Amino acid sequence: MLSVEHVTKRYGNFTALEDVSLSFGPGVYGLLAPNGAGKTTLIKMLTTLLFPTSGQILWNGEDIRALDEKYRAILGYLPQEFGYYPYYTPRQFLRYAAALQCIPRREAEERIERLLKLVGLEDAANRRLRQFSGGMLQRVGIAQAMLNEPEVLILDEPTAGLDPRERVRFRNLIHSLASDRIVILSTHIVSDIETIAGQIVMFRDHKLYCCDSPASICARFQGQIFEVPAGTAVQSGQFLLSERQGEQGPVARLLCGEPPEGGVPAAPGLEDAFLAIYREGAV
Amino acid sequence: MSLLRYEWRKLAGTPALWAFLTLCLVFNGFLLYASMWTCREFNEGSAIAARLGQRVDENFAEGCARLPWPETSDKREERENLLAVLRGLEDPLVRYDGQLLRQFYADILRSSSWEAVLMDIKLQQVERRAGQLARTGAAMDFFAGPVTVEANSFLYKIFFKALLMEGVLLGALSMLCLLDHERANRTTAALCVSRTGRRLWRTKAAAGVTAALALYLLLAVASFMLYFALWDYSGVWGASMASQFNTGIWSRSDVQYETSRPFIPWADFTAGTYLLSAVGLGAALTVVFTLLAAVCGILAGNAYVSTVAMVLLVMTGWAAWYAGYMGGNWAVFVTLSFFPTSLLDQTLGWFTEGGIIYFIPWQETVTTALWLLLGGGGTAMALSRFRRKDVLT
Repeated sequence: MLSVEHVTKRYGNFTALEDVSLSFGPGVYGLLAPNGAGKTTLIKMLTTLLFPTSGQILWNGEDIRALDEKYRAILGYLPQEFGYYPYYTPRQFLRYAAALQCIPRREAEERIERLLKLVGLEDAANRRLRQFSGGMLQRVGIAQAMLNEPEVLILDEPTAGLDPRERVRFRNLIHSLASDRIVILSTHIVSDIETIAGQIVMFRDHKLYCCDSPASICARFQGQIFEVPAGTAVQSGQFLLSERQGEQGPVARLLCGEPPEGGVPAAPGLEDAFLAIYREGAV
Repeated sequence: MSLLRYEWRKLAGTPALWAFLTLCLVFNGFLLYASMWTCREFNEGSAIAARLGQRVDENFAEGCARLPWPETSDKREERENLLAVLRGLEDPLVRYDGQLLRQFYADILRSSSWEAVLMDIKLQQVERRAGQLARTGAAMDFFAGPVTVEANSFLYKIFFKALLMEGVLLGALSMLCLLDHERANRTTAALCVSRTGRRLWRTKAAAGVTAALALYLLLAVASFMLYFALWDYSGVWGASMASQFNTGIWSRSDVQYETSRPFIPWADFTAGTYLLSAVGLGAALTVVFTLLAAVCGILAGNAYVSTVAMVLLVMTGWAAWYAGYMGGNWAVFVTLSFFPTSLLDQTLGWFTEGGIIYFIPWQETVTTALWLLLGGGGTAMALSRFRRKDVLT
């Protein structure tokens, strides 16, 4: 169990996160918030890259700062910007990652073979990384994050820069990895986590807004989402969420307490909830 | 493969480093080419010493007179001059007068100051050392004859100084390259989150120091292979550095505080052991500057900022030291003479009294040892701070 207890992170006068408390058990958690809301700050604290200004993060009841390398030994991490050595092959890079994780050589070789197969890179294992596409590099990143068979897998914006096919492939991969470990996935792309995250963590005004299932979050807006023909004037008390192509032509989705004139009730999706929560530029 | 070897591999994959090393070797080659005239004379002197031995006495002078005479008139004149010098040769250390020198420095340094006291204590030891050398007759060694001063000036003031500067630069650059490698490849975050984590930077520091040493030694071996391909030391290796043909001029030529006088090393150095010791101290100095680069690199976290910091540190230290010397501000000068930058300037004075440059015996060795400790301690403190610090990527 990974728990965050009253954690605050400040940079001088700026508060990036304030008094956040959370608990993570096995399953997929999606950190969903606009850029600048504090997702990456929390991720960096969970990975010991940053240290909380106050509060603490505990792994099975022990402070991760005190656990030091014992904690990092159970941690897998794919950074937002996955860096690599262009002159290395994926196999060489994974060997290096294994050395950093202090994995014995023979065991590392077995794991590397298995992971290269898992991420579909066995045929490209001996090509230089500089020749790889963004999607292939991201798969190398996943493999290096999985190398120590982590109990906690943290992925920061893992689908950024991937094409739709690679994103689907990536989601399936995450789903298969999440059965017996904590997977924390940070993104501002709703569709990435809508299908795979059991719990969604949202921040607003640099504080924890909610940690709930996608269905529960959507249920908060039940009866408040309506579709009207696109171009309909938005009245006071209504908030335009998005526009889409409906069967009868373009429609606008509105958030409002009272049904608008000519409005058709619509089932709220996670994207509606996201837009509703972060309306008017709130982060 | 150990993490240390991975770090070395990262460095080996830096083309700029190899390009710089090659440029250094080419430059040293040019320096050697420029010394060809002195080299020819030195080789003739070395050949004489190889046949007659090093100690100049009556047998040596007679033997020299019996050697085949050169064919050209200017060479014959040189031989005649040499014979004249050899026949009247006396040991200058037997009549060494330290009192004159002590008064000379007391006048410059104002006799009541603590700098003058340090200098006086040092000069008393120089006097004792001159007495010891006089008893061994070391000053009567031929070395390579009258060209010795010029040859050693080239070797230590130009060639070895260039080698040392190159080694120091290579060492500092290697360290900064290694410390900046992860930032440049955007791998800092992933590495810091691994089980090894920030401890990897300790390995980087160790890899940087060992690589700096290896590169310095590689450069030294390659440069001296070129050097000894031209300069014949077969008759000279065992010659005492205290030979009267090897005098020392400690001051800069633009400030005439001092003039040429006996070269009095603190130990019984021969040409071979002195060179080896100088190369060894050069290696230690390379490590000192590499450790200073490690401190800057770890604290700044960026190679460019660290390079600027290093350059400022070295240039400011050297400029203040030089300004102290030129302006006669001896308190500043003496203090800064215990900084490693000052050692780079006076490579021929190492292991000797060093005139006004040094204020205690073995100052270059003491200074280097002190800065090895300070550099090592500074690196350890910077690494410790890095382990507790946020990693902003």
